[in-house]
Amino acid sequence: MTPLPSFVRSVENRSAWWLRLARLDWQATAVFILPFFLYWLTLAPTIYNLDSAEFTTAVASNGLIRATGYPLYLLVGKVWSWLPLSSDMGYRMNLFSAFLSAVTLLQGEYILRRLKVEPWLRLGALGLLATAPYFWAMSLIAEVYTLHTALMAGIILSLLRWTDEPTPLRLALPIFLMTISLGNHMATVLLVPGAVWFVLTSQPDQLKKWRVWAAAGTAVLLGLTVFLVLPLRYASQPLFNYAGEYDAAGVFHPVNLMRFSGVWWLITGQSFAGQMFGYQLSELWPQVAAYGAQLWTAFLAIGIGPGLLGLVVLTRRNWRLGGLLLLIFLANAIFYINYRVVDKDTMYLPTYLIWAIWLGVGYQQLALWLQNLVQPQLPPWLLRGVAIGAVLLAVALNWSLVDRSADWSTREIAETILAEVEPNALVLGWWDTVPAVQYLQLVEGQRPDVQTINRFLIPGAAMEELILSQLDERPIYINNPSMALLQQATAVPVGPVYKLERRLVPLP
Amino acid sequence: MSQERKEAVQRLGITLLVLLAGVLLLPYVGSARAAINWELFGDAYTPDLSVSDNIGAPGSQFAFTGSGYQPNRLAIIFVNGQVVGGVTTDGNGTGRFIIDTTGVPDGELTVVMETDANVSAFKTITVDSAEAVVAPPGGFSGPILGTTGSSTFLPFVQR
Repeated sequence: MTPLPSFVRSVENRSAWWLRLARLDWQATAVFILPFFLYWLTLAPTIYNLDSAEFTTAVASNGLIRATGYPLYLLVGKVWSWLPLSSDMGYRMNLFSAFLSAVTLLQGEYILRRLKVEPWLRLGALGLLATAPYFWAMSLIAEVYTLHTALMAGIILSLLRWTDEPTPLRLALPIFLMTISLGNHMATVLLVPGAVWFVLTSQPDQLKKWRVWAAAGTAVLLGLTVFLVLPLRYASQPLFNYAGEYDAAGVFHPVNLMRFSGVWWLITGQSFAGQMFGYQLSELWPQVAAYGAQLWTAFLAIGIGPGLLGLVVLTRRNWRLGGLLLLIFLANAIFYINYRVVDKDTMYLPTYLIWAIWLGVGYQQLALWLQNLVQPQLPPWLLRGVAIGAVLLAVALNWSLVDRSADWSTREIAETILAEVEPNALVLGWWDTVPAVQYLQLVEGQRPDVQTINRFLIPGAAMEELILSQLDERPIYINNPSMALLQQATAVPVGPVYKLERRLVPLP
Repeated sequence: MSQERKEAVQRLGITLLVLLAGVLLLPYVGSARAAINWELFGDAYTPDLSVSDNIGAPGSQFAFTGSGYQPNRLAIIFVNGQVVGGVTTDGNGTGRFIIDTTGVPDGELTVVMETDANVSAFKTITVDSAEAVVAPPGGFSGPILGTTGSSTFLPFVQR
């Protein structure tokens, strides 16, 4: 009897499906899917605060961000934002960070495979990275840090791939990634010493070939094209622009990004230069200790000993690769320890990634050490149990510290302000209020009559002059009035801000 | 104990030592764990002024803490528009001071801590003879700044 054609197709489809499943790299899939699922469960449900609100609003409204401009984030974030993942743009961009974290971990998996670390120990090492409090927290909100770690892992992986077969094109890939990564985070320059060390010590003869230089130069030029996003967006005169300054008349003067000097000012972050290496020598030790404590917490104490072991073992086994990782680690740690900003704890993620690689190698060394014992079955499973158990413990301990799944506070604050302020109001505030209000206005179309100014973009004297000149003409709201303003006006609490009302008799 | 077994015990011991090395650092690291949310870094952008008590009888000493200011900067302290002193912020941008209300009549005092027009925060306290005299919390330290409290009309902030 001849079977029906549809039945034949069904059997064939099923077997093809099973074949595909059997071919699936389950370990890599798990390293990607498990953390992504964890991040999805704890993801911030809508627009988040501070920088996160600024990034989301700029991506969604084709705007411009303050220094260092972050053109790559603006570009790839825009592409991501087109995916129909949610009607809430804030949620979509938060999910972007979760996705990039999972990509970072996936590449970490491939790096550890190359270093011959066994599957359970890879999962243990990368699991601790995935659940480290700040790595987890930065995966739940729109931020540039997980794009940075994803690119960084890609650079390390592509450099390793280049040493397998050192062709000019294979070297061009890490160079391209590094250049384009500058468009996401200028801290990419901290990867350069390690990468140069690795290339020079691994294949110095390659540098004598003109093809290598031609490929490298092409990669740099291609990577630099990402910075064209800045003049292109500037030319479209975006409504959301954090690259410029308001004057005392309330007129915004954008930095001219059609000129090289303007782009250079923005991307080099000269406005933050004062914070770099901002500690006296006597102030440094507490900063070093604080970083050590943060690393200890990130890897749940259990990852410290094996991590150090991995550093030593890897450096002895492959001093070129060891030098690459050590230089990247030291450059990032030293720079951020010396960076005088309050939120620098969020910026150490590159050092976590390196530590996770060392941790995997350290775990593997312990596993080798335990081989060929009297009871050969017990110790390896003991070690795997410890590695995986530590990850589960980290999930349990850190969940409540990082979970943002019920955090609607930023949207609520911004909606309260827009609901309370009078028509044609001027609202001045800092990062905790203004970017989120601008998100509601520019992305969701709420209250276009209200003008909002981030005080970051207006000098204090100009702000006082602007407010005093308009105090009788329109309602003015501010988060923290200065003394000079309080002498001319009373402050009436309205939601999270104050409405200023001119005094009948000014104070002396 | 056979040589093999002895070696196995040694290796197991060294493995445990490496795994637990980080735990041994616990006394030097501490175990303070805080939720990571935007409020944790909100001060990086917004100055804030907090006070130990909002109300107290004349003679009370109110302990103020300003945070989120520029580090190592002189902040001017105003009470009802009058300069009463200054405080230099520490390396974290925090400054502490005490307002002494001895001789101040009942009423509201608006206290402002300001480094410049864009970095300013205020808090209102009430002096009320019907309340108890309040003092700074134990261990609180900062310059004690006196005020007459009656130099300008009140209040800065309407409720």
